[in-house]
Amino acid sequence: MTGTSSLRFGRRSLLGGAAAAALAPFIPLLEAGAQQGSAVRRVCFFTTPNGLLSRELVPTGSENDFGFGRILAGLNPYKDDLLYLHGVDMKSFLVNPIPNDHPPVVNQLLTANDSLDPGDGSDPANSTSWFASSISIDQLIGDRLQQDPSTRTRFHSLQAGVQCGQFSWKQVFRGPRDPIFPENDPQRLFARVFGDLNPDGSVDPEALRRARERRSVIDGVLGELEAIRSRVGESDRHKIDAHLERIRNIEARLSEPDPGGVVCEPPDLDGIQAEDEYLRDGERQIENLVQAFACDLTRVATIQWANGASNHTFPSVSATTPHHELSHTEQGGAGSDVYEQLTGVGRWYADRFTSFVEKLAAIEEGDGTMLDNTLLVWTSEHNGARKGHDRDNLPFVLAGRCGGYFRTGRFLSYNGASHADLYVAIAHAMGFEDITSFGNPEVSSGPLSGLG
Amino acid sequence: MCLRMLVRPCSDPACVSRVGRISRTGLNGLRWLRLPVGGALWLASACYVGTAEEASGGEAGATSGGQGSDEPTDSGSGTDGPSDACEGAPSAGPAGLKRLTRTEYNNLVRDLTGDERNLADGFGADGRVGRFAVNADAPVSEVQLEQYMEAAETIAEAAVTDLPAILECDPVAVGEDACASAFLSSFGRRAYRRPLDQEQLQRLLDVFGAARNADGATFSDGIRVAIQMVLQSPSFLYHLEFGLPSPQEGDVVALDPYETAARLSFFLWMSGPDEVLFAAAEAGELSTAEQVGNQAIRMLSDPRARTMVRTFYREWLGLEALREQGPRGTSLIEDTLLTLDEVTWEGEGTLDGMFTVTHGYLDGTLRELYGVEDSSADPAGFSRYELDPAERVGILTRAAFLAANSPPTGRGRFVRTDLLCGSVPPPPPGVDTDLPPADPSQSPRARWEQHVADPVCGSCHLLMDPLGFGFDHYDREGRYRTEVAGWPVDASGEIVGTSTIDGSFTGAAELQQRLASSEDVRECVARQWMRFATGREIQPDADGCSVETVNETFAASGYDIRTLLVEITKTDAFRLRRR
Repeated sequence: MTGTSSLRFGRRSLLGGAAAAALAPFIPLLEAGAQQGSAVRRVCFFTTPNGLLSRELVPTGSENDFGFGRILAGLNPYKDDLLYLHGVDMKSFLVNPIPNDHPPVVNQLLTANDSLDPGDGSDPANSTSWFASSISIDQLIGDRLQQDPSTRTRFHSLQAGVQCGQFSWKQVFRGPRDPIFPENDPQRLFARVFGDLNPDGSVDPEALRRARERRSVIDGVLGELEAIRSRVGESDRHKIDAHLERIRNIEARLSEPDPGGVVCEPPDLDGIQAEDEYLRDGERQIENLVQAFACDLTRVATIQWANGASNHTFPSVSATTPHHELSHTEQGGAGSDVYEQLTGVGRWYADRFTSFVEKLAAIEEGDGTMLDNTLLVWTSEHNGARKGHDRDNLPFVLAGRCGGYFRTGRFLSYNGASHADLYVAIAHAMGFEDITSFGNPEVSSGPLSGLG
Repeated sequence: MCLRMLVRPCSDPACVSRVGRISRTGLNGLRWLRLPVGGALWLASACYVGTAEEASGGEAGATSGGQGSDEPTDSGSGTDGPSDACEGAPSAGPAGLKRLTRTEYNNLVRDLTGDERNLADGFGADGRVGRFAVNADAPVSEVQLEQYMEAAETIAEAAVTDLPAILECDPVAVGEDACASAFLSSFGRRAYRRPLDQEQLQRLLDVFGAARNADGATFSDGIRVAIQMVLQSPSFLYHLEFGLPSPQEGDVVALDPYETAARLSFFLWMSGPDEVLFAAAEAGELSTAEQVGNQAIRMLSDPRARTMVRTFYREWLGLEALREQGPRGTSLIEDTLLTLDEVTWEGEGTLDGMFTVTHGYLDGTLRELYGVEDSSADPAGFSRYELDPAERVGILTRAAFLAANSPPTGRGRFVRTDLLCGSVPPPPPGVDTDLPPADPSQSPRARWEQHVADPVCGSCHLLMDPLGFGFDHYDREGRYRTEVAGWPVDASGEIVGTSTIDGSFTGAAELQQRLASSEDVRECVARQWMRFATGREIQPDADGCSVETVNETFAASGYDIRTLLVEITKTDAFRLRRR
């Protein structure tokens, strides 16, 4: 397969009134935008493990006149839609380094705050039981969007995973010790997001029955939870409260009144085929997210490729050494085995990112494309300047303008900026300019400058 | 206490020179404090400082509440254990509300409905206590709740395709409502691991009724949707343990009989109780340590216990990571688990078996790896072979352990932290933990010895690397070798910081011999099993007496693993709950 599956964006089938009443709304994108008088804005964090070979990743040249190395070369057609940020550090980690640099840095990538000690009897240096101490930026933005009826969507956010495994996976957090494991199965994510629709966009009558049954079951489950809530100890009550709150969110999706809206045609995942399941699943997840954005079913998403310390291999680009092991090996120079393998891995992930960008750029929206109103952020929990891992100069490739906040087509160099401040800027881009600090306040002083 | 300590980097500038001193004085510069519980070790003078809690040394039982010695209801191990140390205060550390693990979910669904599709394999990763899967920490996520909902629908749909097989009544003969009520009482009891109260049953009947009475729906639809609800009820998804109404002492309660039955079954079978356990619970026959222990003895003869033992070893030895290697990884895991299965259940069944075993279960991949020739063997099946005792003695010379832990530090770290229950301070922040490029004029060992001698790295690495040196005969994949990069293998190593087995040794066989005789290892293995059994960290103070009792009984049995498992079920730590 190639990165460009045939795009099917037929968003024009009408829901029948009564039939649709049981289903949650698919708010039409263009109309929603028109109602607000401003474009819809969206953000997606695209994270890949083990850093990226800096010498082939970081552009060369000046702010407005720069060239990509071999990793980003495939993005050349979209150069004007991109920003590369150099010199943005994981300050949260650098000011309070934790001598276990795999699981905790994954915790901090989107939370920009201290990690919490496992305290479960596992060896802290080698433990996977670390947690983040506060909410991740995607969840914070999702919360704010959901608070305002004009920006509210059916899904608060979507968490897509691609073979995200056991070790070092905790990236998205609702709060301290409260992670969300992504959905690894593209078919299941599809069913959850688009499952009520037939391929032609009409409503599946089975979906009506299912929604009715689900509401009835949830009613009963809520009763059980309420009965139990008063009986569990105080220290456990937050678990039942979280359960209650989250099942009510699901219930709300099943019960929302029909806005008389227009629906999208669901993506055709079967049209995306590849021998390599990592490639296939990843491209399917991208398709799910693009269409969920296009249908305005959500405005916030994450896609997590594997997990920190992933040992995935990439035979299609001759990277047969397990990735994490590769990242801990002396790199050598261009032409040497390790260097070339790392370049191949970087390019492989860049091609997936390109596929995401291409899809957004192919969908018209207003006077431009969806890329104008979306921000894709590609980053990793490590840099890849040398063998081993460092937390300065994290890779940050940004695509899209997010409604015009980002002035793209530039290569920006910072001198030890904090990734927390980049996230403050992203919150501003998403319309939340009252947010002046994010994550660890010690390393967050306001929106990263120079982006607009 | 070192296993719970907060390790913080030393901010004292004098730290650097202190480390330097340690390095120069070598092993004699280290002072070890042996704590009373679990063979725990604490590096007393290094670049890290523990918390005040750690510094206090964690005297067993010191912080148990003062009142309650005159409580008449203590049915704890004080009356049953070989030690009278437990008399008085109950000995059980705090335990939080836990959700089913993926394994538990799969097994429980299998036992309830016969569905063996293991749908929970698609759920998010489980939390951990130590190396064991336990969902005690994080609240359930919305994604997970959707997955529960979808799995429940898939399971319920399959379950009602053969309705007579799951019903014990004929809805036509006895009436639909009566039959639904009978079915849901029985199915619900097994799913919730206790009899349903009237309200719980009514909620299920309401859901049944709503689905049954929908347009075009049948009795089967009603049952299907009610099953969906059972599988999403908190009584199914959580290990609810409210305990008996009157506390034993302060916040410590004895589990009620059904909760005790469920603890037994989730420990020993990783699933729900059977009818024998339900009957015992109903008859009040799970209230003494002896009654619980007798059930454990019975349950260990069930095949489900063998699956549990495999799960324990898979998690403890960290074998899951090998799955990333595909079918090859699965072969490695299978050799080790089939061997440990036999070591545990056949013959002596004592702890030293894992360190001395010389047979294995090999398929084509393993035969190639171990250099065993058998042209007549089925390449895909696993057959039992005696292995060359010079090369493959003990589970630590098997490819699974060797491939899952990098030489020499990873292997040494496992021995230190998971077999000795010792602690290795993490590397100081900002230190490059990668070795400098190899110098071909130096032996690989010389390179590592520099690592150990390095003032920054050495203070901790000498806890790991000299143990790992013993595995020098095995490459990263676990293949036996006599040379490393053209240099002869050097399998000489040194054990430091243990209670009884310090000293130099050569090779993995001798290392394992020492480990098999080590007090620290014996107590550590008991502690690992207690973690696994209770799904929580074992506390040196709050669990101190339970730990002591288990250690004594384990020793008295000649370190018999099955005895250990039974004794654990009889402790306060297992039978009581501290809120």
